[in-house]
Formats: sequence, C-alpha cells, structure tokens
Amino acid sequence: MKFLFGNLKFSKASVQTKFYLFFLLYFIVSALVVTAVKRQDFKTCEQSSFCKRNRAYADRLTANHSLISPYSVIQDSIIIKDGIISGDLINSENNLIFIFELHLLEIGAARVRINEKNPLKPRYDKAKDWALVQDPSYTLEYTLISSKPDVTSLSFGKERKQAVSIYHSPFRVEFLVNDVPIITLNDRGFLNIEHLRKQVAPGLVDQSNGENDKIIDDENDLDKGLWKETFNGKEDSKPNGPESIGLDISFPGFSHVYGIPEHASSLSLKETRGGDDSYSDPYRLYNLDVFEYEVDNPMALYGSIPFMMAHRKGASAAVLWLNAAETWIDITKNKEDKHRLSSLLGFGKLTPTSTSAHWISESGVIDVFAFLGPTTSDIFYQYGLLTGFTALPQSFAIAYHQCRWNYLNQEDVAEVDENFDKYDIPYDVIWLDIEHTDGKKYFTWDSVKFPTPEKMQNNIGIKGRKMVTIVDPHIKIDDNYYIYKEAKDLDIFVKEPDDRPSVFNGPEITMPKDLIHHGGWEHRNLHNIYGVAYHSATSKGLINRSNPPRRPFVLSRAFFAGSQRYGAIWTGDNFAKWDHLAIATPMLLTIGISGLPFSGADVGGFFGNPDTELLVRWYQAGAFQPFFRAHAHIDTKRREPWLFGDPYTGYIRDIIRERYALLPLWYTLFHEASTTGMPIIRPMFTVYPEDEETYAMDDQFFVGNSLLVKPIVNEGQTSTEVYFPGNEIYYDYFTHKKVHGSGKVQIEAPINKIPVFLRGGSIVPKRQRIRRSSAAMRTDPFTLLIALNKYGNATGSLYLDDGETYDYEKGHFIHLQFKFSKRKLFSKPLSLLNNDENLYAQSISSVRVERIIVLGLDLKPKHIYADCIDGSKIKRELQFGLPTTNSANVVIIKGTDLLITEEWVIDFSY
Amino acid sequence: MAHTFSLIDPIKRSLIIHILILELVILSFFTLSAYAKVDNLSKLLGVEESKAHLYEAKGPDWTCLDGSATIPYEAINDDFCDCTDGSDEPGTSACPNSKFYCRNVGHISSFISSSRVNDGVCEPECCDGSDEYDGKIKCPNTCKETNAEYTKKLKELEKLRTQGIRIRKEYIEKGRKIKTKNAAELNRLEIELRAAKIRVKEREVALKKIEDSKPDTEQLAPKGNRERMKKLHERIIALKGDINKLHEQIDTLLSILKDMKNNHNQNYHDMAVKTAIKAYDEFLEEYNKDMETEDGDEVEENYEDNYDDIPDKEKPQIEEPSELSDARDAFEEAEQEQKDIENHIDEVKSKLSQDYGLEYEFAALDNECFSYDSGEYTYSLCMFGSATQKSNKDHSSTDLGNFAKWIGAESSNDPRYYTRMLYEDGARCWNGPARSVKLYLECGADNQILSVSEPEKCEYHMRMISPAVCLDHNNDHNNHNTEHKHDEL
Repeated sequence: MKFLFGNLKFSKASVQTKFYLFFLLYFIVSALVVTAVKRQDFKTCEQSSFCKRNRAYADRLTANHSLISPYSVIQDSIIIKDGIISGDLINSENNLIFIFELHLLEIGAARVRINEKNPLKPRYDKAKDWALVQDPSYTLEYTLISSKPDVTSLSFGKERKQAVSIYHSPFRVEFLVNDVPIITLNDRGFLNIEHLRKQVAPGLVDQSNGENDKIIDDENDLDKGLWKETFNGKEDSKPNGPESIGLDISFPGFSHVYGIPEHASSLSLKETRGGDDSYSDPYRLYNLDVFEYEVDNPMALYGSIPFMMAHRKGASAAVLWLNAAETWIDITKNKEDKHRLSSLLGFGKLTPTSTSAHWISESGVIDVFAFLGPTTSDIFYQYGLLTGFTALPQSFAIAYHQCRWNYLNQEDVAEVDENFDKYDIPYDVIWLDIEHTDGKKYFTWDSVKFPTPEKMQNNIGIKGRKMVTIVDPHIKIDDNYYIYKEAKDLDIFVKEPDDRPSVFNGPEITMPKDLIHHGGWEHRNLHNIYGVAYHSATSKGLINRSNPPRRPFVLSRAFFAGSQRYGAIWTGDNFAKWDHLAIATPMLLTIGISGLPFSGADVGGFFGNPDTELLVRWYQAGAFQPFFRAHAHIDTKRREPWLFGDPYTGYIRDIIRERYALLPLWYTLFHEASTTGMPIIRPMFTVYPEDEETYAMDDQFFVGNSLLVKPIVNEGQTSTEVYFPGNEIYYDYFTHKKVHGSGKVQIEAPINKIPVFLRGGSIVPKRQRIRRSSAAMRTDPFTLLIALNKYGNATGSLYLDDGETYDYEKGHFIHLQFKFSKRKLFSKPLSLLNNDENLYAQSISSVRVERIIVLGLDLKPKHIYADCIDGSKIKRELQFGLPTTNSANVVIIKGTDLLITEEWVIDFSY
Repeated sequence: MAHTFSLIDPIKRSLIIHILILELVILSFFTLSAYAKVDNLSKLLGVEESKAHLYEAKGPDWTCLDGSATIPYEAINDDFCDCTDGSDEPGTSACPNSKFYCRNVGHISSFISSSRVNDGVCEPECCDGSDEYDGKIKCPNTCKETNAEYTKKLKELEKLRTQGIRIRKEYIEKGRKIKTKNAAELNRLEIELRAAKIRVKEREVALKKIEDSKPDTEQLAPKGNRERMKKLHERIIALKGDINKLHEQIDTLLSILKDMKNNHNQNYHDMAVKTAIKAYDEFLEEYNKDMETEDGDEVEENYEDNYDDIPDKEKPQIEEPSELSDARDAFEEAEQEQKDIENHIDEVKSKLSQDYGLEYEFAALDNECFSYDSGEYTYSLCMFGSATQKSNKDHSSTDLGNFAKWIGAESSNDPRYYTRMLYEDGARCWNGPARSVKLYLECGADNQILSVSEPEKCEYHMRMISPAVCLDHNNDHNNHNTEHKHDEL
C-alpha cells in the first residue's frame, strides 16, 4: 500500500480521537427551492442571536455619541512584569470584573487577552492549542514610556520602534510603529463580553445581568435567543446561555484590509454596514459545506482563518482573532477618522480612510494577536513563527493531479493512466474518491471494484505516479464495521447532551452546537477547529506509518489557522462557470496571505459540465495555482484532457507540460514559504507595496516575485488589460518578447495562451524535458531563464532535495543563489553540507545546466566563457544555442557541461 | 508499421547492428552507482535502419532533416535540442517532439516518444532495454520472452479470429436467408392483405344491408331506462380505464421517486431533494396503508354483483337477432384479420429496413439476448431490442434504452461503423439524462458481454465479443486491431 495517502474532505467537527456519527437518510429540513445555493439553509446575522445582539450593541454606540464603552481599567491594577502588562477591567454597567493581559512577543507582535476574572465556569480557551506552534515567548526588550492615571505606554522591540498605549477609561489599546498608530482595540467601544450566568426564571430580573438590559432596552426580541434558539426547525438548547464576545479592531489610516478566509469574495474586503458595493451581512467564519456556493458573498464556506491584514503606503499591520467558535466580522471604512487621526498623521493632501472591523464570536475568550510589520513580508514571517510555516510537501504533490468522483474500478484507473501516456500528458497523482470504500465505510476497500489494489498502485507507481484516496470524516453506524465498533467500545463518539452518541442531524448541514466533545466542551466552542484536528491526526498518522518517515500529503477542505502545518487545502465544491473560475484567484490569494499557501481550486469546476473553452482556460489558470488538480462531480460528463480533441487537448497538454517545466520554481517557492511564510502566489500589493494602484487588484498576481500571471476568466475573451507595475521591463513568458509600455497594457490572449510575464530582474529555474511524471524528471538537466531588468541585473534561486523524506532537515539539499550582474552570471551554492557529505547533492552530481536563456542584454556577446570556481576545470568557451537571434534580446547558451551542484561564473564578453 | 530489413542491404544492416551492439556495450560501462551523463553517443542511436543514411557524416556540418538549421555533425545526439523538428536528437530526451527507435532484435521494432528515454522506466515497447542507458535503471533484454508471448497470443487471437470469421460467414448466410424469407413473407402478406381488404368490404356491405332491412327490434325493457343504463355502464367502464391509467401514473411517479431516493447523491446536500425524499417516504407509508385497506376493488365487485343481479331483460345488452349479430361478427372478424396482416407487414418491413450490417451478418443475432452479472446488477441486452439493468438484491428492473443506431464511425462505409451500437431513451435518471448504452463490439468466437461500466452517470458502456465483427485480414479495420493488440504487449 505504498501509494495510499489519506485525505480529508469534510469539515464536520470533533476532537482528536472523537468520531462523529453520520446517518444520511435522517435529514429533516423544510427548505424547498430549486436554485443554486440554498441561502435559507444558512444563517444570517439576524438569525444568529449573538451576532444580532452585538450588532445592536454597536449600533447603539454609533448612533449616540454620548455613549461610551463601559469598560475601564481599575485604578492602580496595572502590573508590568517580564513582558506582560496585566490589569483588571470593570464594566461600569454591571460592575463585573475582567482580567486583561498584554504580552509583548519576541516575534514582533503583541497579544491581548481578556477574560472574566471570576467566571461561573471556565470559558473555552483551547483554540490556541490547535492554532499555535507553541505559546510564544515574551520579549524583555521594552521601555516604559509613561505611566499616568489615564494611560500606560511602553515602547518595545530592539530599536524600540514599536509602542503600545493602554488608555484606561474607557479601555482602549493602541499599537504604534514609528509613533504612528496602526492598530487600535475598542476605539469605537464595541468591546462586549457576555458573562456566564445562571438562567433566571422568566419574569425575574437577574441583578447581575445588566449590560444588555441597559444599553439595549427596548429590543425585547434580542433576549429571545439568550437561552434557546431555533433555526430551520432545529433547536439549540444553549444550556450556558449567552456567552459571546465582541470587539472592534481598527486600522487607522488604512483603506484596505485583507484576509479572513474563506469567502467567495474579493481580495480587498468590502464594507458590511453600508457604503459603496457593500454586503449587508458581516463576513462569517463558520466551517460549512455549502452546496453550489455563490460568488461575491460573505457567507461562510469550508474553512476559517480569523486573520486580517491591513496595508497602505509605508505600513502593514495584521491581527489574529484566535477563536474557534462561530464568528462574524463587520467591516466599515471611514473617510475621516473621528478619533484624532487626521490631525495626528502627516498624510498631507491625502484623506486617509480608516478601516475598522467588528469581531463577534459566540463564545470563548478574547485572544488577539497584533502583528506590527512594518512590511507584508515581516507580517508573513511573524504570523508564520506563531502558527507555523507551511509544511514542505513531497515534490509530487505540487505536480498535476487527476481526480474525479469517481474512477469506477481498476480497469477505469488503468485506462485513464494509459491515456495520459498515449496523449503524452504528464501527471503525478490519480485519485480515488469515496466510492473506493466498501459502502462508505471509510478505511475499508471495495474489493469488487478494486480487487488487486497493490497491483493497481504498482502499475502506476512504476512510472513514478501516486494514488490518493478520499475519505469523509464521519463513521457509518454498522456493528460489523471495525471502526464503528472500536469507537463505540472505547466510548469516544461525540455525544448528544443526553449522553447518546450523536447522529448527523444538525442545522446548516453540520453538527449541532450543543453536542458535547471530549472534556465536556460544547461543540459551539470549537466548531472551526474540527477540521484542523482531523487534518493534523491524519498527517501525523502518515508520518508515523513510514520508516524512515516520509512527508505526508493530506488535502483538506476544512481549515483553520495552523492548518498549513499539515498539508494543502482546496476551495471546495466550486461550479463549472466562468464566475467561479474568476473568483478562484482572489480566494486563493486571500488564503495564501493568511498563512496557508498550499491551496487550489478544482480545475474545471466540481459541479456541472464546463465547455471546452472554459476547461482550457481553467487548466491555464490552474497551472499557476499552488495546488493543481482537476476534479469533477459524479454526475458530470467525463472531462479528461484527451476527450476534447485537437487543438484543445493540445492546449491542455501544453499548459500541464509548462507546469512541469516550472516545477523547480514552484518547489523553490514552497521551500521559501516553509521557511519565511511568504505566499507562493502573491497579491500585486505584496510585490509592489508602494503602488496604490495594486491595493485592490485581484485578477492578476505574481508567482513568487518573478512571474506575473493574469488568467483569462471571461467567455470569448481574446485580449486583456494587464497592469505592469514598477516601471520595470517585463517579457512575455512564452515568446520572450519585451512588453512595450508599462502600467496598463492591452495584451493578446488567444485561446491557447494565458498572459504570463517574466518580471525584469528575475532568474527562473526550469526543466524543459517532457516527462510523464515529476519523479521521471529527477535527474533531468536544467534551463535557466534570465530576465534582465533595466540595469542589466537579475537574481533568482533554486532549492532542491529528495522531495520525499525529511533528510533535508539534516542538510541534504541544494540551495543555489543565481545572480546576473555586469554581464556575469554567478551560481553560488548556499547549502549547509559540502557536496561530499550531502547525499542529495551526490545523487544529482552529474545533472547539468543544459541551457541558459538571457533576455534583455544590451549587446549581444561575442564569446561566452565559463569558469568553475573550484578550479577543477579550466576556463572554456561556451556555444550559442539555436535558434540564435541577431538581437541581444534573446541569447541562448547551449548545453554546457556546467553542473548544477557546482559553483561557477559565466562571462558574457562583448 | 512493419519494418522490414529487406530495404537495406544485408551487409550494411549487419554493420549497423554491430555498431549498435558495440554502443550498448560501451554504454554499460557508464553505468555507475549514480546515473551518469553519457558522452559521445552514437549518431545512430535511436535511428531506424531506413533513415540511417541520413545520419552519415558528409563533412563537418549536418542539416536538420526539416532543413531548418545546419549544425555541427558533432551536435547530433549531444543531448541538446538544436533542430525544430527534433531530428538532431533521435537517441536522447532533449527534443520534445522526437521519437526513439527500439530495434527489439528478436521481436518487432518500435518507436517510443523521446520523453521516455532515460526516464527511469523500462518501456514495455522497448523489450531490448535500449531506452534506458544512463544507468539510473538497468532494463533487461526481454525480447525473446516477449516475442514468444506475443506469438502465442497472436496465435490464440488468430485462432479465435478464424473461428469468428467462419461463424460470421454462417451469419451472413443465415442473414441472406432471413432476408429472402422476409421478402417472400412480405410478398405473401401483401397478397393476403389485398384479399383481406376485399373481404372486409364485402362483409361491410352485407352488414349494412341487414341493418337497413331490420328496423329497431322490439324493446325488452323501457327504452329510456335501458339507454341510461347502457350509458352508465359505458361510463363505468371508461372510469375504470381512467382509474387504471391513474394507477399507472402513480406507479410511474413512485418509480421515479424511488429512483431518486436510491440514486441521488447523498453528498450533494440538496435540501430540496432531501425534503422530497422525506415527503416520498411519508407518502409511501400513507399510500401503502391506503392500498391495504383499499376499497376500490370492493366497489368494483359490488358493482359487478349488483349488475349481475339486474334481470337480463333490464340489461342494456339486448340480444340481437342472430342474423344481424352474425353479420356484424363476420365484419369485425375480417377487419381484425386485416389489421393483423397490416401489423405483420409493418413488422416484416421494419426488419427489412433494419440495418443488419455490411453483409447482413447481424440479422442472425436479431433479438438474441445476452446478459452480464456485475455482482450488484444483472445487465441484459437484446440485439436490436432493449437493454435492462436488474438489481440482484430486490430484482427491480430499469430500462436502459432501445436500439437506436450504429455509431462506430461517421459513415457506414467505414468498417468500424458496425462495431458500436447505441441504445437510448431508457428510464430518465434523477437530475440527469435518459439512460443509454453504448455497446462496443470486438471480434470473438462467440457472443458474450465482457464488461459493463457506467463511466458517466446513466451512460452505460458494454464491451461484447461477437463473431459478427470478425472481418478478414486484408481489411483495414483488422489491421488496426492487430496493431492495437501489439501495443498492449
């Protein structure tokens, strides 16, 4: 069973060894409309009582400027010790005491925690155990600036460039970088912690329950959902009553905020409380299986990362709202900041627009991380240190995957495999969806359809290909099913409130909130981390299974902050429609900047039948996604690449081959992501942070820093406007021709071409040999594609290892830095081990650089000399490759005997 | 793609073989622990014998076979692609569009895509192992075994084919007879029809005559009453017909819903569907309860009883004078006879117009039925008739469609035209198309369904062997088939 890998498809919750029973026939839901997404199956803020209450709370404060937040710091309660500032808060409406802590962290971030001082019982605080690599350490690099009765201020960080001010009454926290405020908490006074309470008999007034009654006095219906609520006939028993938390987090001076996936929406987040092109509901984070989801909508989808980033010229900032309960986020933008901002900031003629987010979660504690940048890459690194960097995948995982629900049997698998060879299209992985099991009993096998699985896998394994199987995370009730029986005997199923094992029958096609998990915690507290728990268990199981351990490949549809440590995710069950192709780009960019770069959207669209043009365009876009997999619903027509005939099959083949040629670049980028947190596909603003034109741009992006990609996402479109930022030279990736002009340029994009451009200044490592799988390319020679910038310079790198084991952690890898400067190309190894100790370097010791293509030289060289630094070979002249051009624009150097593992210089003399 | 050596003179041929063998021997020295770059490959590596002369050195330079460029002779097989047509790299993987020639001495030579050269996989098409020479992997020469196996399999296939061809000839003969028989039958029937028509006319005239001569017979019951009863009786019969029709419609709807319930995609989470299924279950419960206590039959029986109780004389069916009734019977009988003949003619005509293949070979299989047990279902298909799927669990049967046409090729002149049949318009799938079957026919010594699959929802593929498609060797289609079989080896 060499090639079996687990896969996670559903988001439905439970913790670690807990399983969730699922019995499909017993759905009882009353909705009946026949269109795409069934909006009425999913809650609006209005239908979620805690969201409604917190929105009303915010509205009251917004409408009446004389009202201020009732929370303030208790005089003299502040203690500053070892990087922690702590103190007590009092809510003047009900005199309840809360404890707050502000941690100054080594990673260049700060953390704010607020909890009840004496809660009736503990509030859930375990989301951090899943999301964080470990509890972050505190920095001792700080200085107390002022400690007045109304404000406590400290500067921190090595150069004391970061600062925090805690305003005492009302309680407000402000983070500053270089004396400019970039994040403020409770600036608008929406802090609201519904304390745990006992239910009082109807008619009596609970004396301790004051805050809602006073501020929200006349809205009786707000009280309706306090102790029980129903949705679509499903009752939530809410034994703990109201326990929500809310807080506004503002980014003064920032007009764009990003993140909080997963939504089928734009990269730059929209307003949700009025304004141009705004949504009426808040963005919702609640992992759900949304059937045929709609685009341009803030509805919750399969995964949740409560991470939000803000960016403007000169500054970036971000927050992580660490909470695993259902969460809603309202976003508002102010043209003028009512709180002293415009006067304080020296923005000159610009009218700054501040953005504010109102975070509302159903339960738990307030646990907010503030990442202070100052650049986007600093934030990616800080966030990565906190929640983990993406796991470096096996090299096959970033090649092309062929999936369908379902390849029916062994003959079907063999035929699909053979056809890829027949049409000479490379692929690495064929998938078996849930029908490979014996009657959906996961971890079992249908031995009628697949009688000799080992043989089946070996037949594709010989060609370096893999097989991945899919399971859903629920357990069929069947006493003859070993997993059901084991779980039952161990009594580890998630329970109904009355202690029976839970059977799938929840609202919104997910688990009811009042189910009880291990440790007695209600499901409502941890819904959004069920997926990451399952993902982590599967991933760890796979590591434990192999010896020496091999890197697991586990794809999940559900995710949370931290999922990147366990594998890849995909955007779920999309639709074979042009708008779904279009929305994939902003969705993947958003997920990528939220710390989870290994992601993709199903090529072709899961539901429905794409026409040929849509499919070709989707392959072109998919080839530039980090995770590249074609997938299709069981009801759809077959759509394997060869079924469309020429020229379309050829177009699909071309772009899949191009993905394979660029695998060295992709793998290098994955390595970068796994060590620095840099996204793999990057929004324009992260590469050109000073160019305001790019801030809302989400229909084009960079792969790394070198390839500018703009997928064609409209039917019949054959040309498009591409924005070329930075007054830089760009070259057409396919033709190597210089782009004329900068800024917005109209580009031809016939059906066989996706607009892709090399950014001047980059060196892209490629492998141009056509092979049938990435494994077959392991010892193929390299091509270096060098695109010079206007100064005649370029840089790039190449990271390679065995693509399979963890030997790279011991130094068995090669990492090369390429630099082109003053007509010389340098290749400099950055590896840890010498080649004679480096097992990987040895295994590719005779791999050559077969071709070097230089674009944009000012003068064509007369001779090219190569010089090996270690002196083992004498300086020698290299040949020009064919076809040579007369211009200096494209120079091809032919098949050298330069080895990829050695250090060398090439001199392009006149 | 037969590559005969006869095109090249024998001496030259043995020379080439020697060079190649020498080359392979040299190569084997390069196989170090890791794979090695192979320097100075033979310029003829990967070149087929008939093109060897194109790779002879005729000076320091060499021109790409497409004439696109002139390169140093040394650049042939130097593991760098110089020519746009890939002709300079016949023996390496450097060019994306070139082919590597495996000599496969002792077996049949073949070409593989250059992307398979030194890719770490021993290509089954290169039994001589010549496709892997950089030492990554050692591919043993299996040409002898491969050839033995191939020859054996070929012989078996040949045997089956010979049998098949013989049976097909019988089919053709049988078909010819059927055709003649049907034509004769049609002839006969048409004559009969003419006679029948005359008879009908005659009897109609006779009947009319009697009817006209006999005025209303004496009434045995009061006229109004009788008329009313007659009308009511007719009405009851009509209503009974309506009820039956409604029952049939209910059954149809129930079977559609049952189909939906059993076959819908449970992971779809389509609330409308789930609601409909729930409603169906509830309805079914009620309905079955109602059916158990159904008093419809009672009513009917009561009616029948009561009707029987009515004195005969009160009944609307009045005894007619025998003369008249005889005449009417005779007329109706003649009419029926004519109708029967007409139906028979239609049947024969449709058979005569049915497309039974190139040489009428499929007529022998007309309405022959074959079945296949897949474990969960038993599939059956009657040639030129219908296809069905029967559950082995509850024996419920689903219509997969009726024969519609041949679809093996665009034109019926293409011999492949008669290798694929389409059966369509079966029971409609929930949320999908009407079921259909594509029947793929291959040559075999008997008729047998080999496999059934459903690659797309509700589109079934059946593979079947039949002597009816065993054509003679000199036929294009057959050559195509042989070649395909060869590829698989």
